[in-house]
Amino acid sequence: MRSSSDVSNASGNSTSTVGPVLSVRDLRVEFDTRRGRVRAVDGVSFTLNAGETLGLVGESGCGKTDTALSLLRSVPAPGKIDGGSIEFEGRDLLSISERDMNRLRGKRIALIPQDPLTALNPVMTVGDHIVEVLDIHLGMRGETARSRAADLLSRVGIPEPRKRLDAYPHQLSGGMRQRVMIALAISCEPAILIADEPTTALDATVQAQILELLDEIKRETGMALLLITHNLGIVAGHCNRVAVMYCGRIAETASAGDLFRHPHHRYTAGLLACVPRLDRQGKGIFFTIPGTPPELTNLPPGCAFASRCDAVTDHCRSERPNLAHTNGSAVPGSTDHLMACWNPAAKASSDAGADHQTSARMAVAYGRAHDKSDA
Amino acid sequence: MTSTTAPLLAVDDLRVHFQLPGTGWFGSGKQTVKAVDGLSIQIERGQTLGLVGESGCGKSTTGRAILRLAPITGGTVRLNSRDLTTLSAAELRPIRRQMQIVFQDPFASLNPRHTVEQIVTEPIWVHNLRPERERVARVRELLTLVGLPGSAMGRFPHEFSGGQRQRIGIARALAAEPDFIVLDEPVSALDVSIQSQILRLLLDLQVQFGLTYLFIAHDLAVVGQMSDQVAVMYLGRIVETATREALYQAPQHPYTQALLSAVPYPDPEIEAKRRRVILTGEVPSPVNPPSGCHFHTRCPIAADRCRVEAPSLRTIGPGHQASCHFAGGPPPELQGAKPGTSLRASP
Repeated sequence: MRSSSDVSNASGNSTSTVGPVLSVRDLRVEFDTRRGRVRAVDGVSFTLNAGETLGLVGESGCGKTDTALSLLRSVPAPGKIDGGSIEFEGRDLLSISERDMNRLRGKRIALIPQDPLTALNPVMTVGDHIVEVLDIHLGMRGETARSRAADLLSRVGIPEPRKRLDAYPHQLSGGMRQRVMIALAISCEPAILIADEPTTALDATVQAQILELLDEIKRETGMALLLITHNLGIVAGHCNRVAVMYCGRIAETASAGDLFRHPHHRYTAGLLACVPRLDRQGKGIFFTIPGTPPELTNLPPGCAFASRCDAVTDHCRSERPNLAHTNGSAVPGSTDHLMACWNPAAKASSDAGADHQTSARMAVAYGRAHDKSDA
Repeated sequence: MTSTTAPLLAVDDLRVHFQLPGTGWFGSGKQTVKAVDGLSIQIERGQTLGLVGESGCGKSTTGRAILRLAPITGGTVRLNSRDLTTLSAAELRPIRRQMQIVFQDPFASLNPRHTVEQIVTEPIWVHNLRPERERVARVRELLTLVGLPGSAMGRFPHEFSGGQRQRIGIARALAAEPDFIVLDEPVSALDVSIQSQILRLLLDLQVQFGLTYLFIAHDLAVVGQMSDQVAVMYLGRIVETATREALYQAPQHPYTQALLSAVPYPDPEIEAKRRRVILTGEVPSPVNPPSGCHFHTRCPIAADRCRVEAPSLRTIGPGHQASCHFAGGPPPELQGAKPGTSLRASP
């Protein structure tokens, strides 16, 4: 029913025997603004397999949230989906009716939004939130719904779930609210769970708890997880594959192991080097990507990253690179490591371990390494 | 801490207690939140102390109390050997120039109706630092220092990104020409790529102007890039303090070890091999903290003794103090997952 010939799904993981539950092809999202038309998502393609986690990584404004919201057809106005296809359970989500879409939202495809405080209705109890979803999608009411809601709360690790059903969002801590959001999202056992920066507002210890919880639920239910974040460090232990976005396009995509060991795109390498690490500690030891992403209204003709790249060539400034396989073959989709870079970081040093040396070298070159203390 | 000159900042037995309105008749049954409870720190001139802990542990309150922005219940705060806790508001005003703060939220901490020029000029004007005619040039100089173009002067905060707004906040703090700056989670609201830009800027400014920082954060990985000394806080108290090297290489308190193990590594192979100490639950309410050691309810190595007897902060190495009954000694028998080794998953 679904062709998986296009775009990578061969992650090399145990999940690769199953066909993709979702395939997004050439997705485009546009915003009409006063300063002109902006293409927030510009030809993004990816697949998502059951039981797999795909990390979607990039800076604020790179289009990662718009990509995710497109899967629910919930891109906020004035944005609109302008092209491409989103194939899910045998249908193109972009051509089905709004009514059919409503049956999918929250049921087959669920979202954990970025800010758990504003996402919950302050005048509704935690129980009301969950019961409402169970009623709408599963027709569950009364005591059945309440006990199912309590089960869900206990499933996401909320103590005294019965009592918490009557709590209001403001009575819960940030971590607890995020757990409520997760309980809501998994209440109908969706095929796809989208988690948009699920831990950004949380403490490191709670962040670790939430990510473990998502992993656990994924293992139990076999759902696919789309994990959106700006911090590559967070996704390392929790993703099968990673796609790095920059200015509305995918800059690089690969299996997590491949991407972290051999980042090809200069932007990926930079993002990776920016992550503060415990094994590279010392005052002033850090790497910086200079500058900020260009305005989408005013993209340069060549590579969008050219102005911030330390390995920029004339070619980069004049022609925009397309996503291609890292071994140089022009047709994307045959294998799993794709990147859009004319002068990739891992070009000269393809053997194992080279990237660690590269990032360590960068750290020394950019930081004041006088008191470097490696673990 | 061995230097002969007095530290720039010396905080001794600082206490900040808040009274909650009572729930009973006529406000009876009042409860006290001990947000900061007997905290002592020292920072040498030109150095950075990193203050780490989870939300609600009292780290921001500590920062604010030091600047006398939060009411102090007890203890002393000495800046340049002068006790700030006894000064009147009028006496304090000239001293406020020497101590500034950069806030966490770059969106809420700038007046949306003021231009960047007005925002950055205000401290200069309040403290009457420069002659009138030099002020515009001074603002331009400050903006250049923090990496903003001069054209930013006439623009409003909403026109800037989070990172740029944080630069405006830093320029405002620098405008007062301070000795000491409290950095209250200055990068936690920013993208990682922008975080490192702001951290580098802060370090450059520290070297250039000999600034002393209190760097408040919840992320130990970030703190390690900025600090000379690190203090870990839990429920209003310091549970461990040491030099950066000692704290990261030989953390003694199980809470520090748990915080370290919560830091993700940007490497899937290391992540897969790591043994994590994931703390269960959340920080208990400071209204009714647990008996004995405050941490015992979440501690992986808690013993009977911990439930009864509160450990005191004791010295276990040069400049290294921890408040755990088991710190420094051999780990107790019942220890299931040995936290000390879990974070040594070196590549």
